[in-house]
Amino acid sequence: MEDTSWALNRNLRLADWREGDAIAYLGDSGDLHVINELTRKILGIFQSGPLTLGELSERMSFLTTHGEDPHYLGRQVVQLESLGVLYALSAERESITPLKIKR
Amino acid sequence: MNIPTKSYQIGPFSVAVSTDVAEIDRGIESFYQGFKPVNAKFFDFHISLEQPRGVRRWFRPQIDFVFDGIRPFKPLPRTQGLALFEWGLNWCITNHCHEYLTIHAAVIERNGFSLILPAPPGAGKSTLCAALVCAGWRLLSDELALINLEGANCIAPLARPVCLKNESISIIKQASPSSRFGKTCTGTNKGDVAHMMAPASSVELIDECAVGRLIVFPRYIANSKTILTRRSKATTFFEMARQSFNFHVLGSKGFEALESVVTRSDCYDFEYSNLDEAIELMTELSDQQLVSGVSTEELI
Amino acid sequence: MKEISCFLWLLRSPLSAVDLLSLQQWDLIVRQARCVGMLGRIYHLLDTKKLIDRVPSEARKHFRWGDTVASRHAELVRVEVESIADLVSSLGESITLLKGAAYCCSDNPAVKGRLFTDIDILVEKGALADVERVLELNGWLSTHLSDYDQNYYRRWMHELPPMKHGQRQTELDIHHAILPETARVKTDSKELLSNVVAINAKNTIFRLSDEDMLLHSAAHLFFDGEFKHGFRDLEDIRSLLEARNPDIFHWDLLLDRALTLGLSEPCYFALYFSRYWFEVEISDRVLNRALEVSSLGVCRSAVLVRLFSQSLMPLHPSCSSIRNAFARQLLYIRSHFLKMPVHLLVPHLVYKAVLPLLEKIQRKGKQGSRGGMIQMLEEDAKSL
Repeated sequence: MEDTSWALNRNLRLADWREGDAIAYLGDSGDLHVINELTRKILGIFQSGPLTLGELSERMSFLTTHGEDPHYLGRQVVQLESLGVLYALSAERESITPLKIKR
Repeated sequence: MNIPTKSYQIGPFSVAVSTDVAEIDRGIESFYQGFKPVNAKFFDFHISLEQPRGVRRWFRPQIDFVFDGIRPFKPLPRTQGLALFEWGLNWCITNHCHEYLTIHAAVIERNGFSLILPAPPGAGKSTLCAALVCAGWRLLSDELALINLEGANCIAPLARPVCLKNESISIIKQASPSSRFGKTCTGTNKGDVAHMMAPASSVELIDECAVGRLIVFPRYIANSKTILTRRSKATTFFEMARQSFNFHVLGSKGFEALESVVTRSDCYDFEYSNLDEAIELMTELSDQQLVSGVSTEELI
Repeated sequence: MKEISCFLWLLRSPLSAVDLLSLQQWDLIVRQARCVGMLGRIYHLLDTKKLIDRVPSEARKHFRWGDTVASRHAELVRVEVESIADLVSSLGESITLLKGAAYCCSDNPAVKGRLFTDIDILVEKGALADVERVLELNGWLSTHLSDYDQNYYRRWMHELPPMKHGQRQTELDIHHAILPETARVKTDSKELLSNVVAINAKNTIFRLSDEDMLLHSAAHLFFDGEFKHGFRDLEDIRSLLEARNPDIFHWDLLLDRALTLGLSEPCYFALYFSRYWFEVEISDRVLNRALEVSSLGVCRSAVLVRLFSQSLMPLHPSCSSIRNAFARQLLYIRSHFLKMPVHLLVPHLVYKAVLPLLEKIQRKGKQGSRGGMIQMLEEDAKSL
């Protein structure tokens, strides 16, 4: 998992009011989620492009106190994958649509 | 037998209605008195209220709602014809119209700013809506918030009657003796149902959209204090999407329309049991919006 | 036919119709199109020809609303189909899409804007059990749960009982053939599956070849007894024909293929109606050959053409008549005879006719007898 890169679902839209929680909307599946501040920050970092878990952790450490714990971040990333918000890049993929979309 | 058709322009929708039950015909006419006449060639919705053939035409007579040959509901007792028409028209709009993001909410307006009251049935939204309209607010709708997809943060009026149930009917009649009501339909699956017609002033402004500014989730709880608490925009967005009829159909356009309203609105939860206090608080809230100095132009 | 003359005019010659139709005529077209699920289709047809802005705004918005629904639905179907294909590919199998799902996922411009409900897929008969199991494990549930219905579908028809996703409510029909096992006409699935075309780069999602898609559409319309979307299905056939690649497509090859698949009869009707209702250019020679090869004979074909003409009218109050209803009834009966031999059909129809009464008696037995004609009438009214 350490070498895997993760990327944002290109159909993701974020509604963000700088208040804490935000809304993540997936235009392809129509799924809608209320996301907390930390998750919002994680997604914000992924907007710059695909990252490994290590890279994510490094960038998070400047932003939050949770950022240094790679296990916690790892769990967040896996959860976001199961929601279809993030997906793992693999060498076999030719297109950038997600591998799986689960509800 | 040629059943005459009457036509009505109800906000953005042209509706042709035909029925051979004179009482229902008169009732609908009174609901939409003062609405603009409609071009008689094209109608968005062709509706008829028909007496069934067979024994239910005479024995415990029933009435059927028919939309262009389709019967989306089971027949109801003929005495509930007006309620059936209103519910049926809601169905027509929510099932076919995708010009707007439609949300199950009441919308009223004061000082140029709208107050959206989204709520599941039973939360007391219609009673609060009716009370505020009687206190001078403009009625846009008591059931359907039509949020414009093209213009940012713009809500289209319908000025259709407010549907009140059971005790609310007498409460509002007492509070506002000059308000006009249709005949009470008894024995519906929601109890007694009556419709309070929109005041003429609301009908006159039917072509004027309102700008979203306040979103309040009301909850009537017997004997509770009047409590207003802020809620986050994210949970407001989520709940309004849930209360929407066509958010899933509109996709990204629906997302953008809802975002534009929620972004520009202050969002609250509201518990109440005393209607007078509720009216006072909502009025104060609306006045605060005016005072806070946010101009209409800045919002759009 | 005059009831749909404006509708047909718009579909045949949109360039002239769009400026000449009156508002009243547009009103009727919108209603008929809505009835057959073609609002989005009209939007797309007129938009592609850059005519949509010439439609009066009153009508245009209805077409647009229909297109909004159809486009969104198509998007969701594409996502759903990918998900199903991924599950099935874990078994080393691929899926072949049929009908609406095939048009939508292969981005066939001929039928864009079309509204459809279920996803139909074709899998090899041997793989059915495994496919069903992997779908069940991932949230798909079988509908039609009575033993009789399960048996009817599995043993006698050409599909599993329809499945529905427990959460998303999408409906899925899994076929192993395009016509029932018990049908008098047999179409070899292996023959169909040997000619499929891949839709995705992973080669997990396929569609039938252009000719086979056309013939399947024709078989579905002219063998099945359902005409609720008959007019729309006929327009599909006309669109598929008009989108044909003139460098590859040959009428005689189509007729030969129809013969191979045992579908010469529906092929004839598909060509007949495409020519006479939609003015698709089909020569006398081709039409005559299609009739000859179908072995329908002049009399039988004339009778069936008449019945189909009446049955394919939209099920809209403007087109309803006792004559049309009667034609549909006859064709419904015919379709049953085509699907099942008499010794299976008669018991099946009797069972289906008696079943509601049996269920009512069972319910009454549980309630205790209150009886009375009035009560039964009340129950009938409630069940409308």
